[in-house]
Amino acid sequence: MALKYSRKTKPKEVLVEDRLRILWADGSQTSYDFYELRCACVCASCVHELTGEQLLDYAKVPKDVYIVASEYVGNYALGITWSDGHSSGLYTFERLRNQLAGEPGPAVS
Amino acid sequence: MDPLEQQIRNAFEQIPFGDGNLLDQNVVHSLALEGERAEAVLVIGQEEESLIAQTTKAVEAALLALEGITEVGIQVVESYDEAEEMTTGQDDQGHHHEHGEHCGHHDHHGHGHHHDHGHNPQQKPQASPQTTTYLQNYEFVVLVGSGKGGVGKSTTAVNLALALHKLGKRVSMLDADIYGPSMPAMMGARGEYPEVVNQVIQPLSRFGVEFMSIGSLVEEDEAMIWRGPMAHQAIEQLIRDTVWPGGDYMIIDLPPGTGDVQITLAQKTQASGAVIVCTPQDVALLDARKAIAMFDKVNIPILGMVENMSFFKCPGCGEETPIFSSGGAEDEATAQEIPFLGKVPIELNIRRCGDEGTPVVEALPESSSAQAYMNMARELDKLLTEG
Repeated sequence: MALKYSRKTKPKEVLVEDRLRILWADGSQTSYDFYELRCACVCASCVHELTGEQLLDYAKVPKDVYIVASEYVGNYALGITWSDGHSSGLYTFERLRNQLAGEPGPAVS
Repeated sequence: MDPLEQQIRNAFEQIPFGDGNLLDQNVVHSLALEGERAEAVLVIGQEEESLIAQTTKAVEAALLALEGITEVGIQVVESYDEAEEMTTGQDDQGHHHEHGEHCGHHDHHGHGHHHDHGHNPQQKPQASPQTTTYLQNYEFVVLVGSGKGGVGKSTTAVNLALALHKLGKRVSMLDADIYGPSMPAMMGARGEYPEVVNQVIQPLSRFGVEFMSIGSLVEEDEAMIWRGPMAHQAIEQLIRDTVWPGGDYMIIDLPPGTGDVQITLAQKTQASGAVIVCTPQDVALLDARKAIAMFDKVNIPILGMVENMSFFKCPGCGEETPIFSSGGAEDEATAQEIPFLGKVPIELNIRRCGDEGTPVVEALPESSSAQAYMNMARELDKLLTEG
C-alpha cells in the first residue's frame, strides 16, 4: 500500500530571494511577497487564538519587510524571522500551498 | 562624553560576561541611538553561545532602565567581521537588521543568533531555509504512539526495535514518555544510570540497541510532573544532549495522546513516520483516530496500525479468545487507507518478559507474539525502504 504521505504537501526546494519562492514536489511553483506574507502571520501575537481577532496592525509592518532567517520546522512548516523582529510565526506548507498563494493584499485568509 | 553614553557604559560594565563584563570582554560591537530607540550589536562566538539568552536579556533590561530609551533592538553575531559587514551593509541599503524585542515576543528558535545566510538578500541573492532538526544521523525516525494509555505502546516500541535489530538493522531507541518512562524496566536497566559528562549523556545499551530514557536520569519513584515548556525542554535535551550513535532506525516511544511532546518531536525531528498502537476496542480506536489526525497535520505519515491485545491465546489448549473483540484496528486501518502492521496476542509471556527486563522478542523468539513483532518489523522496513 502506498503511504498516505506521498499525497501530502511537500516542497522540493525553498528559496529566499526577492520573494519567497517554493518549488513543490509535484513540480509546480509558487512565490510570495514578503509584506503580504508577514501580514498573513497567524501566530498568537498576530491573531487572537480564541476570537480570531486581528492583533497585528498592518500599518506598523514596514513596507520593505524581508526575511532575515528561515528554517524548516519538522516536516510541515517554515519558521521565518522577519526584519521587523517578528519570529514566532510558523507557515505550514499546507497553508502556503492552499491558502496563501496568489492572494492579493495583506488580508489573506 | 555624552551623559547617556556614559550611563550606558556604566550599565554595560555591570553586566557579567565570561571572566569579566560586557565591555572588557569586547562583547559590544556597536550601539546606535535613533530617537528613543537603541540598537545594539553584540559579538558572541560559538563557544559562548550558551550565554546569549541571558546576555541579551540583561542588555535589554539595562537599556530600557535608562531615561530616554523606550525601545531596544539587539542583534547577536558570531564575529566582529560579521558585525562590520552587517553594519556597513545596513548603511548601504537603509535596512534595519534587528532582533527586535519591541513586539514583546522572544525568538522561539533560540535567540536570534543570526547566521549570515539569508539576512542580506542583496549580497546573497539565494538562500534556503536552515535545517536545525535533530537525529539526522538516522535514516529513519519512527514514532510509536497511541491515542490512549495502557494499550501496550511501550511494549510494542521495545519489541519492534529489537525485532529490527534482529533483521540486521542498527537501531537506537528513545523513551519520550517522560510522564511514565518504562523503557529502563523493560530493557532490564532499572537502576542503571548513564554517564553524563558536561551535560552530554552516553546512552545505555542492551541487546545491541542503544537507548535513553528520562527514567534513567531520575529516581524511579519521583513523579514526573512536567508543564508544557518543561516537557519540551526535557525532550529536547534527550534528543540533543545524548550521544546518539546514528544508524538505520531511531524508534521513539511517545507518551499517550496528542500533547506537548508530540508537537516538540514533530518540530524538532524530521520523522519518517508514526506507528499507531491500539486495542480492538472502539474507545481505543476513537482515540487512535485523533492521533492519526494530529500526525496528519504535521505531515508525519502514518506507517501503520498495530492491533495489540488482539486475542487471548490459551497456553493450555491454544484456543484463541478475542477478549476485547478482534479486528477493529484492521478495519479502521482499511477505512483510513493506512497499512495494517499486524495483530499481537495477549500472552502471559509478553508481560512477564517485559517485567523481567528481557523483551519477548529476545527472551522467547519462537513464541507467536515474538513472531508477530518480527513480521511487523519486516513490514515496516519494507514500507520505508520501498517508499
